[in-house]
Amino acid sequence: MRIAVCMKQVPALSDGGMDEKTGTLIRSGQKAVPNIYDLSALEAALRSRESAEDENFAIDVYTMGPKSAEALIREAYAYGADHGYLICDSKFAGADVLATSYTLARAIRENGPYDLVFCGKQTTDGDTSQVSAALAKWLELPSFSGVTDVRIIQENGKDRIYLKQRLDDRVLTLKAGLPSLIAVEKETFPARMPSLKLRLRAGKKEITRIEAGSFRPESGGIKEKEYFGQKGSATRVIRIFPPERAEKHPVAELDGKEAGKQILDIWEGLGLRKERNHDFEERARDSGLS
Amino acid sequence: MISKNGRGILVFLETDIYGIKEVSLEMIGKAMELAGETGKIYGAAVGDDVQALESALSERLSGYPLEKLFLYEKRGCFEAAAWESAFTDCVTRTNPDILLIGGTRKGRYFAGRVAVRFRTGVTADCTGLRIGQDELIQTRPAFGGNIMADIVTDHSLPRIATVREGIFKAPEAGKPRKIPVFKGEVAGSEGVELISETPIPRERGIVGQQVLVACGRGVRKKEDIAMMRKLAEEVGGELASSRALVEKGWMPQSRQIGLSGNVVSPKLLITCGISGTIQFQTGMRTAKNIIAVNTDAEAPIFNIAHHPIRADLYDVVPGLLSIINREIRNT
Amino acid sequence: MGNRKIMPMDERFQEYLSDESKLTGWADAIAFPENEEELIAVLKENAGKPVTIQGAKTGLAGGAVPEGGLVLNLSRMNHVLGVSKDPENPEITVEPGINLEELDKIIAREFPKKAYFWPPSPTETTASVGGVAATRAKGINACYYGGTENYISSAKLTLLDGTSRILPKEEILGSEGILGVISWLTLKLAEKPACVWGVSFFFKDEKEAFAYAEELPRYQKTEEGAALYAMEYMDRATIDLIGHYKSGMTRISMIPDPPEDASALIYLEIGGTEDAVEELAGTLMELADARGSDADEAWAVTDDAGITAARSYRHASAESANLFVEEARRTEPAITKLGTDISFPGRSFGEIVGIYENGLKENGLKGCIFGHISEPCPHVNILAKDIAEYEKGTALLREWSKKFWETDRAAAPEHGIGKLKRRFLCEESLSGIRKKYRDAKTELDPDNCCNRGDVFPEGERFR
Repeated sequence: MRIAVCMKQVPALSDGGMDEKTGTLIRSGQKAVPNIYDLSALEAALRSRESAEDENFAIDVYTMGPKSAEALIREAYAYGADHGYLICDSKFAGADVLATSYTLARAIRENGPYDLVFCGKQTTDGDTSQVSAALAKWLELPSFSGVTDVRIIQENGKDRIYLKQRLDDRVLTLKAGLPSLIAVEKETFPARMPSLKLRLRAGKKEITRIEAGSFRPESGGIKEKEYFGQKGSATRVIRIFPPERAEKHPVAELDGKEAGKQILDIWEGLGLRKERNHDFEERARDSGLS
Repeated sequence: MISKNGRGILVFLETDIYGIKEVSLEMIGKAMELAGETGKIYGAAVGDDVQALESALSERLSGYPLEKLFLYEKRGCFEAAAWESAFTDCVTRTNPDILLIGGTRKGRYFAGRVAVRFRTGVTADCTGLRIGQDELIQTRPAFGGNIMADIVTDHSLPRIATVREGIFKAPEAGKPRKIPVFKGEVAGSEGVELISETPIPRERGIVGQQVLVACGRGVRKKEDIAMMRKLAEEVGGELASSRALVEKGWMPQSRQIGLSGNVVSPKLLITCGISGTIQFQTGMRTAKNIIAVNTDAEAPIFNIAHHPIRADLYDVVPGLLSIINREIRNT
Repeated sequence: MGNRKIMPMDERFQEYLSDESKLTGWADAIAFPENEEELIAVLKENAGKPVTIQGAKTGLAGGAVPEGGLVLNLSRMNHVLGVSKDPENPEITVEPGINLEELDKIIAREFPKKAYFWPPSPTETTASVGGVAATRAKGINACYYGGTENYISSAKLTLLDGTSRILPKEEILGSEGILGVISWLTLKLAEKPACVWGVSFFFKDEKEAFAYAEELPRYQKTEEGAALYAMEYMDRATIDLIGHYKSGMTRISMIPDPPEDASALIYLEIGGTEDAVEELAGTLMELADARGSDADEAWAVTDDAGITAARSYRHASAESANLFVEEARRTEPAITKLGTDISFPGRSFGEIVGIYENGLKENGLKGCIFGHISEPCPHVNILAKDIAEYEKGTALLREWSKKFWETDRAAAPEHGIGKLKRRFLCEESLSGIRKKYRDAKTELDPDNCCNRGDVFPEGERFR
């Protein structure tokens, strides 16, 4: 069994904001840390390994980033990952969702095959949780996002997965085949504490560096265009600007009645509604939808 | 570059057991704005029973300027790959400039797949969408929300954008007309088996709620908490508390907002009789809209409230409860 | 009419009558000066009447609890007054009401390229700098950086008549606000080590944990450039107490529980260059393993977020004990925090903990023990459920205070005496502490108007 986990570093806390005069970012000087959502993805993989009876269960970590992202891989080793791939090349920089997922897919295909690919839900520095679904499509895998439980099971001598997937109004309990891509929820996979023993070993472990030239040319059919980095991205930032600054709003001196009316106006203006208290089944019957 | 005079826009219509989701209506509204003079708006929905979809949507959407409804039947439950197939088919048929997807879980789960299928860009959680410089300008926060970014999709079509509920407004309905309907079918991935579906009951805790009403020391008697609870119910939210009332034993610790309690980030937080110590603020300062009611003009909560109101909660809440009831009965 | 800043006490200010000790007081008026000028005006207006000074009200000894007079809340005096960027001596001058979290942000903003911080920071991050200075609180890094006094270069005291003094800091630090109001302080900053690992070892046998603790000072500083920046102990009762309240504490709810068979946890912070830290960590792990602490179970965090979480966990020891007291008070309002936090320089950590444990056992009381290994300074919190246990607990604290005064002349509590500790300290140790401040008090506040009831009894007169 081989699992690939995609992880990313994020700034510890982006308190900086923007210097309006120069149009550049102000970094608060804190170090980069593993994205906490990706630690849950790694945790899910580690738990799968612990409950499996497979001797040769490998968990590989893939990260796209600058050379300093090696620290992420060493961190992953301290949690229990077996091997790490640092996808790092100036050609990969400036990648949007399309290019990022493409690059990850090339790296994973190059070093596969994998039975499962695990991803986190999103990042703390504001990314949009689209990479995992996009990655699944490049790899031509079914994708299951919002996963709160995943187990590897045996059925008729084959490995399959049993999983629970969260939608907005319900939880789906499913079985699916391998290979598949899983994006996990953070809440049900709180990361374990990194092990001191594994951390001490991590310093000596190898990390494989993947650069633009590392990829074997994709075989078969018409040569597909490559989607690396900024050149391979479909989107482009044309402007950055600071958000509305939070100024102290003047305190309104209102009597009870005026205050009540204002609160009601604000509530309605936000499009909020008191949820209709209908029974689930009754509603379903009414709409005919399920 | 995007068509100067009119844009073709495809909108993901999502339904749940109550019917069409609010966010899908909001996407239609935005599409109406973006479409321009000669633009065309299409809607596509996927569901287990295409007849039920038709019943739910045709009439409901008849007042909106939709060119055509594309309804795809996928037996069984949601699967990202299947929704992707449906939209691949629909995009191929309608060739839109823009694809708008509400940022619900389902929307987030399949949007990226469609983007890769068409080798195009997807900008998620947009807070603004407009046509500018012959392009669709997609605005969203970046770098943890301290910066806003305007983004364009240069060459590929469709430009895909996802938007969370409540960012844009649902449109006013116009004169109803019959919208042509196309029906199709999609299948899920092989080997996927649905074991069960479990509805999620409305969350009772305070974390993850859209709306919260929080009460504090300003509440003088334990019995008065009942009216605060009623208010929370009427606004569709949950009741929370500052530490003061938890210490008194009037509210459980699980409902406490603050440093030694819970950190919450609701869309709307109404605080009553809470002064807003640093410890409290740490638990709620990211709330999107904060209404604070307090008799003390110097209360620290007023420094971060979007709507600071100096008034006595005992003057405000009973009156508010009576007018809110009236409003709901009238709708 | 009077100064607009002084407001009569009323219902909406009720929360300003208590602090974390859970004692509740009473007051006639309250003021929130926003700068030194306003402070002086308020003090002059209030001359001759009692004043109780408040920072962030996180104190555990009741120092901020008023007993009549004016409540002087300094939380709005939270500005930076000056910064010195001299790399040999980085300093920042601040008003007393700024809290430690705000201070961290400001330091990061003022010194963007450096990793500076203020070492005395106790784990209660919402505490005010003035409060830290007034109680001479120390953080868990004191074992490396030394006492709080090393990191305050000067402070200005504004007396109750509105005049000011710049006193030697030794006189101001630890004086718990009984001499006057600290109106600004100049803080010395230190640079964080290049690399810090937060390591947790779990011991099945408490005695082994003690033996390990005794061995640690040998590794305080290594030749290769690594040092122990923190050495903290937590017993099983503490771990269980935290476990009980953990789900309601956002900052630590995601931290896994320690192994069930752990009788004690020792948390260490190792700092220095990465290589040296790794080496020391390895050595300490082997040492712990030899003491029955399974090396496979040891934790190690290395990033800021991990270390912050680990510290929050350590801080949850105190928070959980406080939550326990809050719950007990709902049925029995007379119950307060029952804790002691005396340092025992030169003594064996295990021996002191043993004395505490025996005392609890002999009296049929439950308690939790956690604290600083070097010094050593274990904190014991007696968890009394009812009034009978509370009274037994109070008596036990006094007994310990007396015993330790006799054997070690040990008295100075880490959290200050305030109003609460008087109940728990024996006369002799109280006298010893009071002797230190008597002369200054007589000179600066002979009418005992400033923080009346703290350190000295309310009725004490100094003329």
